[in-house]
Order: sequence, then C-alpha cells, then structure tokens
Amino acid sequence: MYMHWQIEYPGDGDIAVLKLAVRERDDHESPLLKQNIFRISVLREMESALVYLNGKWRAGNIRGLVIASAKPRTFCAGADIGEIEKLMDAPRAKTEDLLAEAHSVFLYLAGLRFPTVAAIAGECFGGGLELALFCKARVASDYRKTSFWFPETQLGIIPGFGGTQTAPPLVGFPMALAMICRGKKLSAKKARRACLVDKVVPHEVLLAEAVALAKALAAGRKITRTLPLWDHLLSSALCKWYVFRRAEKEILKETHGAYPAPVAALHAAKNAGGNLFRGQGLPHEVKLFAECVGSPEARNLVRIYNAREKAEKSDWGAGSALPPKRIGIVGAGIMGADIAYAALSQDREVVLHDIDPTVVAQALIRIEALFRTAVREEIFTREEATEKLARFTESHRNYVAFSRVDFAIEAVTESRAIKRKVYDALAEHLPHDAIIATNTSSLPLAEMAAEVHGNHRFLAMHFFNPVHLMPLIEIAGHAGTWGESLARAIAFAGLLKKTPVVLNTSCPGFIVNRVLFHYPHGALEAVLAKKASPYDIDRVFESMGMKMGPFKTLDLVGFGTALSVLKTLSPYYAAGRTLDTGVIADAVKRGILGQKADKGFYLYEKGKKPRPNNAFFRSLGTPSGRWEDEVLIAEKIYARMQEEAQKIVDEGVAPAWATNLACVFGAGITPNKGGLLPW
Amino acid sequence: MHSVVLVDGCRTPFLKAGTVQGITATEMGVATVKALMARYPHLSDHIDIVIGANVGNQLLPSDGSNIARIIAVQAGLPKNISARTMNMNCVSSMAAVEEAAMRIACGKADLVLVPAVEAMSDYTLLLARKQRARYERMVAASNMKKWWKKVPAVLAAQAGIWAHGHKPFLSANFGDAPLWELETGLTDPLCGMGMSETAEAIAQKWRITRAEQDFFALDSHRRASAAQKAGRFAEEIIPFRGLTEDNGIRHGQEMTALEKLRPVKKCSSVTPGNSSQLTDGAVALLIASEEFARARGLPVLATLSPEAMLSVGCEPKYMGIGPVPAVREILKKTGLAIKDIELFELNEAFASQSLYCIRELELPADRVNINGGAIALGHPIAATGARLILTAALQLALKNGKFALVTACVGGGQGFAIVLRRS
Repeated sequence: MYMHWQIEYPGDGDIAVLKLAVRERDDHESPLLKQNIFRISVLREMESALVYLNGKWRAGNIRGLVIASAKPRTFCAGADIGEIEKLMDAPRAKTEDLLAEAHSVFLYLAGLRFPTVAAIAGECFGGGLELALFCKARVASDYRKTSFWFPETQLGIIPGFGGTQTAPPLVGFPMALAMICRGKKLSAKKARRACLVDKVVPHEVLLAEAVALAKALAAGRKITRTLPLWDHLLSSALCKWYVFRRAEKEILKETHGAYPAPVAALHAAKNAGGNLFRGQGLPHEVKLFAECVGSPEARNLVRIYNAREKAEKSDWGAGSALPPKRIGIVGAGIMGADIAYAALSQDREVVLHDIDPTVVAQALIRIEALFRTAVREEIFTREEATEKLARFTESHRNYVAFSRVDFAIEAVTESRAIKRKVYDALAEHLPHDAIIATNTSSLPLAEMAAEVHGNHRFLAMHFFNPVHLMPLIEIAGHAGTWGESLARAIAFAGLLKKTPVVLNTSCPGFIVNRVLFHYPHGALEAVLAKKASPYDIDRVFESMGMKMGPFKTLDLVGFGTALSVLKTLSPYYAAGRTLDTGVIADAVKRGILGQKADKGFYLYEKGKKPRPNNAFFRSLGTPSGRWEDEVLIAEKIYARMQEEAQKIVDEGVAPAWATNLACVFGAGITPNKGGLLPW
Repeated sequence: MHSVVLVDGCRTPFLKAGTVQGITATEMGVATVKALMARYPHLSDHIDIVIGANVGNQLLPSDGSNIARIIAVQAGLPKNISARTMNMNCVSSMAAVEEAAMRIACGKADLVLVPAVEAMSDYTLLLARKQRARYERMVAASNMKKWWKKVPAVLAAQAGIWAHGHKPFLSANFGDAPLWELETGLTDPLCGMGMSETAEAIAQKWRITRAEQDFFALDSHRRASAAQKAGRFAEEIIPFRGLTEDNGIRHGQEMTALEKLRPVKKCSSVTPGNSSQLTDGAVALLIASEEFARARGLPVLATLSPEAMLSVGCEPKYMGIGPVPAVREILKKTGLAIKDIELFELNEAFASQSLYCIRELELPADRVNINGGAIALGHPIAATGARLILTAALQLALKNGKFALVTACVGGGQGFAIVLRRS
C-alpha cells in the first residue's frame, strides 16, 4: 500500500503498528535503505497512513497505535541532507510552506484521539526524534546503540519539525536547551531519567511492550512523569529567564558569535510551553528555520558534512583493500598509546614497542584509563573492555613480536636519526609485505623513504592529538608508494572510524600543518614585534570562526613542539620572513611551556577559565611604535593561510574540497566559512 | 633398573592465604588423597610407602610430627604403610618425587603416594625468647593468689605484651594468617635476606625494571584467567569445601592496579603484584613402576626417570637464579636441547627472577607457563613442585608432546629441574 511504511496488527489486532521502512527511491521495487531517512515523500505517506488509521479507529477496529521502525536496530536517522540542500537554494517562501505542511502533519498526529506510542531502538536523530516527540508516549530498547540527538545545529540549522516546541515541556528547559542548542546526545537510560522516554525494555520485547503500553493507555491509564528535581525547579516560570540567559552566554562562549543556528534554536525554544496547535511557537520555528537554512554558515557546514561523507566512502583512486589484522606501533608516547587504544577498540591485536619498558607501562595505564571511560559512557561493557585489552602485547627488547604484524606504525620522536634506527631494526623482523606508516608531522617523506627497505609499502599516516576526539587522518605516499599500500592505509583509517584525506603528492607538513604554519608564525611575528596584544588577536580570530586563537593553540601544542615544527617548516613556507623565536626558547628554559606546565600565554587552573598571562606578555618587552589594528593583523594572517591552501591545490597536492575538509577537521579552521578556500 | 611412571594426580583449588578461614594442612592433604584414591579403589593396599612434602605446618624437624603420616592415616590408607615428609623449602614436593622415583627404580617399591601440602594461613606459631618471657610472665601473674599482688602484676604483664608491639597472629593483608611466622619462614638465615629482597637483588643486578616485572605479572594473570575460563584446570582440581576454582587469579588484571602497589619492605621494584602469592594448597601424586601400572591397566601420564631429575646449589643472595644451572645441567645430562622441549613450567616465585631465568636460558616465551604461573595461581611452598609436575604432564598429554621441563628456584640458593617424558 505504502512505499515507505508498513502497517501490522499483531496479537488481538486492536493495536495497529505503523512501521517505517524507507526505500532508496520513491517506488515500490526500490531496495530498503540501511537507515530510515525522513524525506518529504515519507512524511506525506505518513499523513495518508494516519488518516487511514484514524478511520479505522472511528470504525472501532483499533484502539491505539504504535510507531516503530521495520529495521530492527535503527529507528530514524533524521531528515534527508540532500533535501535540505535543495531548500538552501530555494526561495524562502518555499521553505516556509514545506515546513508548515510538515507541521500540519505532525499536529494531526498529536491531535489523534487514541494513544500513540513510539517504539525506538537504535538511532533516533533529528526528524526521527521529533516524530517520536509528537507521540503520546515513548518506549526505548536497551540495545546499546539507542540514542537520542538533535544534530541540526551542527549543520547550521535548527530542528524544524517542531522539536523546539515539544522537547522543553517534556524534559524541562535545561535539558531541552542542551539537546537543541548544543547537540547533547542521550542514551536510552539517560533519556529515561530525563523523561524523554517512558520505559526502557529489553530489545527482544520492545514491540510487545509498546503494544502493551498502548493498550494500557487506551484503557485509561495515565502516564506521570517526574523530572529530576533540579530540572523541575529550573523549568518553572520563575527560573526560565535565568536558564535562557545562562544558555545564551554558554553558546556565545563556544561560538563567539560565528554561528547563528544555536542562538536561533534558543529563540525558537523560548516559545515552548504555549498551545501547540494555536500558539505562535511552531510558526516562529518555521521562520527561524528558514532564516538559518539560507545562511552561508549552514551552506558551508553542509558542504563540510558532504565532503566528510565523500572522504569516508571514497577509495581515493587506490582501489580497495582489507583492514589490517595485527598492528605494531613503535613509540609508546601519547600518540602511540592513543593509536593503540583506537586499534584495540576495534578488536585488533596490538604490539606496542618502546625502548623503555616503563614508557610502555605508562602507555598501557593510559589505554586502560581510556577503556574505563568508555565503559562508564556505556560504549563497551566491562567484559568487552577486558577482552579487548587482552589483545595488547608489550615489546621493548627487540622487534621479534613484529614478525606477525601486518601494519606497522612509527610514532617516535621527530628525529631523522631515531626514525632511521627504527626502520633498520624493523627490517629484520617485520614481514616484507607489512605496511610501514610514519606519524611524522613535518619531516620530508621522500628523504625518509630512502632509508626504508622496501619503501613501496612506506607511507605517512598523520594522526591528530587527541586521537579519540580528532576524526582526521592525513595519508600521503612518496613517489614510490604502491597504490595497494595506500588502499590498506585507507582501510585502516576506515576501521578506526576516522576520516581519511589522501594527498596526491606529499609535501612537508602535508595539508594541515602546512597551512597552520602561518597561524602562530604570523601571530608571533606581530606580537614579538610588539605590534599587538596576543589576547586581542585570539579574540578576533575566534569571532571569525577559528576554533582556537593562535596563542591558545601555541599553549595547547606546547612551546617545545611548536618551536621545532616552526623550525622544520620555515625553510619551506616562511618565504624569507625570519622569526626570532629566541624569546620563546628562553621561556621554555624558564619553565613556561604552555598548557602542560599550566603556564604559557595563558594561565591554566583546574576548574577555571584560562586567564591571560600578562606577566609573561610584559616580559616580552614594551611596545615600540604604534600598535596595529588587530583585526587587520588577523585578516593578513588569514589571507596567508588562504594563499597557502590555494598553493596546495595549485601544486596538485590535494583538491580544494579535501583541503577544506582537512583544515576544518584537523585544525578547526573556520568551519563556518567551510574552510579556507571558496567552494 | 625399573622405569618409573606418573600414574595420576589431583589438587585442591589454590586459595589465597587468609581468604578461607580455618584451613588446616591436614584437611587439605586428606582431601586430595581421598579423592585420588577414590579413583583407584583397590590400590590403597598396594602402596609401598608414602613420601609427603610440607614445610611450615608441622613442628620443626628434630621432633617433627611428620604430616605425611597423619594425612595417610586420616585419609584411610592401611596403617601398615609407612610415611615420611620431605623438607626442601620451595621444592619439597620435587624432592619427594625424586625420592619416590629412586625407590621405584631400584626396586624397593612399586607404588608410591606423594601428598604435598602447604597451608600458609596456618603456620605453626613461633615465639621468640623475648615473647615467650612476656607470656610466661602473664601466666605467672594470673596464677597469683593474693589480689593486691595479682592485679598490678597482671596489669604490668599486659602492658609488657602491648609494649612488645608484636602481632604474632593478625595481619591486615592475610586475615588470620600469622604474618610474623611467614616473615621469619621466608627469611634466609644464610644471607639474612627475605625472599623478596633476593628478588630485588636480582632485579638490581641484571637491570630488570619494575615495568618489565609488572608486564610479566600481567601476562601470568591473563594466561591463568584464560586457562581457568577455558576449563583447562578442571581435570586437575578436586572440590575442596565446595570450592572448585583457584581464587588467586585476578581476571581483567590491569597495569593501572599493578602500578599503584608499593614495593615490598626494603625493595624498590618488587611488589606484592609481581611476586607469587601466599597460598593454601595441596597436591597428591601417584607414582608407580611402569610394569605395575601396565599390569593393572592404570593410566600413564608421563615417565619420570630419576636420571632426568637433579638439584643444584647457587648463591643464596640470588636464590632466584637457581633454575639456570639446574636446567643447563639437566639438558646436558639428558642430551636434550631447548627446542626439543614442548613446554616449560617454571615456578614464578618472583617476576624478576623468572624473567632472568627465561632470558638467560633463552626459553621461548610462548611455551613457558602457558596456563599462567605462581604469580596468578599462588605458591603454596611445598605443594608447588607437585602442581608444576601435574600441570606439565596434563598439558603435555593435551599437546601430544614428548618432553616437558619443570624447574623451580629454592630459598637458600638452590635450583631443581625435572624432565618429564611422554611416549
């Protein structure tokens, strides 16, 4: 009857079950999509189905309705990004009409006079969550991947299917604002506690429980929901003003005004609580949604989203390959440990090697702590974590353990001499067809390749710190790297659920560090020449949309590392501009190292915001001559970064879309502009 | 010369000392013997002699109470079978097995029972002279008749006992286990060092870092945990007081936990985490001549020839290196090479000495202590050797291998090595 919906009448037949089963295209023969996407056609079919079911209720055939997914482990992953993209180019009136139509369908659902229960297992995102919110009750499965999320603000838009109006009365304002404006994700258990979901049941009996609940509601049972005390108090009319003020402040702190969507979502949610059918809340949401959809930020964020999907699904011209089985990592520093954790999480055997066994022990302790956090956040169970940890092997005396490794990663100190020693030692035990990937961030790949035996399997895989939060991996081969080797590296990135950006040819610093070189370089130039205050420069950049100002970045990376990277890359990219970093080197000697030492350009104290380290700034010398306008300085530096990015494209290192993707995900460079280069 | 075979064996679960209250060595030894003999109901009368092993649960040598005799009789063996107990510290049971093998080989016996037991939570109370004096003073004070003399005397005697500050019975770590007895028992009078200190000495001399020792301990727990979960101990363990599993194994042991432990007294890298545990456990082995076994259709787990057993002495200060000279000599004697040996059971008295022995002898790590070792399972001193032999024999049968090598170090500076053969 319907293309994307199925209707069943289990058991006694008095409760109907409307199952969502979206197909690839709008025809009956098209195969099912892996996840359910809420397209306009799906919405329109839902309207007919609801009308039909309403008729059945009037005739006395059914007493209640359960809305579920026909795909057992995923409910609905939200709206179709392609359709949203079309709205971006369409005239505003079209958007508003479409949304108004959607709202009328949902209001019809809300107005049905028989109980409607949503049965949710797996992803319940965006439009899918909004569908569930319009039902009278929600039952969730204890299946681990069940989660509730509004991803809209990450794409520069706001929930447009009524979520800003239906969520706050249900979960209270604090939780609603966290979900709508800041993209907070809830697991089934947390959703239960927040009253988003009324019951959490074992996965096998999800449908049965939902049907039972519908029957109970039809028989007259009422659902009482008690919010946690704090949320309840903060949702009262008295506190509403305070909650909104605080939320607004927090949003501005994070976005520095560069992203309009979270604020728009906030304003939309202000109207929640009034009459859903006759109030101004929904029409207001429509207007704000249309505004956001047309904004350049939304367009750019969606472009970045598409670029990421492309990067993850593409084979980059290298063909396909299987991910590795046994991974060997040389260098048990923070990067080595984090990469080991990522590989162990995906059930791989990992050998971690360092010359000093104490360093390996510390790395294992770090990995165990990461697993403990994952268990606490219910990503794994305790038993799974123990099982994964059991695949860890340490190595320190020799590389004998690498004789069964099929993918080796070298993550030792950035020193040619040390790396050369490692490659020589590996040559004795590592199988000839195992990949050797170096995590170097600035050393020239071609020269390193000359020192590797069998360098057709040698390439660079540049991870970013911290590995479990940064999704980007830059992959680059030298002239002699086989395509098959690149394919295996790409497969490894996919296994780790990371986004690979594969360079066509390698250059020192690859994409991110090459572009980012100008960031602290130019900023230090200005500050050391006493032309501006570092704190003003940081402020300007952050309001431009950079995730972090240059001096905060210097602190984060650490002065030592920053100095050495600047030194290595200057010959290539400084274009003759010399920078006297003697002052910074002195600071390092005095113990001002950056965030690690809690002292850098900012002072770091646990639980407090970073404060400007004025004493250090003053020690750099008194200003001589006039101060320049920090906005001009920032624009100059930004222009240099854009030029470098353009050079990357012109030299054929990588296409523009990949360069932008790398800049956004590797360094947080103006995602609101979609990166550095025009699209 | 008769050929000697290991017929069968069993053991109680190994229980961390102090975790189960009120265990006595006799009880454990009797349980194993009863269970073993229950498998061969008519063999009890044919045992020629019982040679047991124990170190700390009997009154010391000269008027020793010979626990093997008590176990044998209480287990229901005919009273006409004589019994004796061997004491060679950590390898007492290996010494007992060697004695049994030699007896059988020269025809003095056909069937020998070897019950080895150690209940480290129930060591005999020793009192130093000073302590004895104070307790005697208390007894004398309580016996006084005149109250005006008795009260001050008792108070003074009590104060004297408190002032001594010695806790002969209780210890925070081991429940009711006598800490002081254990400390005394585990100190070698030859060099005046505790066993942990000798392990530390080895770690210092051969630069074995704490991280390496912790990794070794982690591995031991992982292997033991995997073996227990896979049921590989089920064959050798008999139920004792309703318990059927070794309780010293830490499943999901983490480096974080090991790193938090403080080193033992006077040590800097040896911790309770990378040392063997104090344990209560018993093992019983039946050893027979091959003709006897074949004539009665008894199982044959392995061949134990006396030529393939020996003990050597070494420097007491580095007692942990004992296995090295012992293994080298036995390989020379038997003409075997490391690569001929299917599996090795090396007693993990301490991670540092185990690492030294494994590296010095170049033993292949994937063949040593495949079911974990004493760090995870525990080291009930006299019973350990017999457990190593039993485990090695059973694993050798599983893997269908030919030779297994069992070796251990001994406090006081010795090493013992035994080669088991399977045809």
